[in-house]
Amino acid sequence: MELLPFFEWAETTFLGYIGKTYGGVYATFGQSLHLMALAVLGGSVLVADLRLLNVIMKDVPSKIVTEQAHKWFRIALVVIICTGTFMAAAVAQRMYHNDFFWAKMSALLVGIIFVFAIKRPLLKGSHADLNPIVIKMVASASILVWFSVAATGRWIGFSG
Amino acid sequence: MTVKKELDVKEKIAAVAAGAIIISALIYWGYQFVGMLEFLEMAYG
Repeated sequence: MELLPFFEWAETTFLGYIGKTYGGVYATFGQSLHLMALAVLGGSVLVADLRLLNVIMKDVPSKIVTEQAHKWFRIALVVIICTGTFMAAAVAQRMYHNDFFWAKMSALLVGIIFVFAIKRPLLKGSHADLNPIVIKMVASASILVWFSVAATGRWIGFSG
Repeated sequence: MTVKKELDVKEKIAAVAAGAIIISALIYWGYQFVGMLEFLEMAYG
């Protein structure tokens, strides 16, 4: 399926027009909120996964930490997707030809599927009943995949 | 945490998915790192 026409169309939409025309709106509603949401998402991922790895907050049950962190993760993810769509619409054709944009989208898709289809169902029950090696593998994979999302996302700004 | 002898289905799926992500990420970032080293060698010898 050819995606270029979709990206060309995205630049002509209202979002694309606003982002391209008004730098202030792009910088404040796009980049600033996107980066703040990324910080919240990264923080929630690190708090939950470092707890699962028994690195931090050992005196608080991992179930409580992961449940609390996941609430903020969901909010941050929604903000990231909304602001990311707005930012990408303004430079859609440039994004289409950028390898790191596709690397970020791939990592984001893998991260979302991993969290909602694998990690959440696994951690819903009692953590004491789970194999500790599996918990540590899931936490490490989670950190790696969200690190990849953040790193490739920043790399977009330094490439092309 | 207690160590169980056998993993249930959810744990097996999680272990396979996590393993695949860890290996893929290591290969991807390893490849990027080698590319960066080659680039630096070309630029500065």
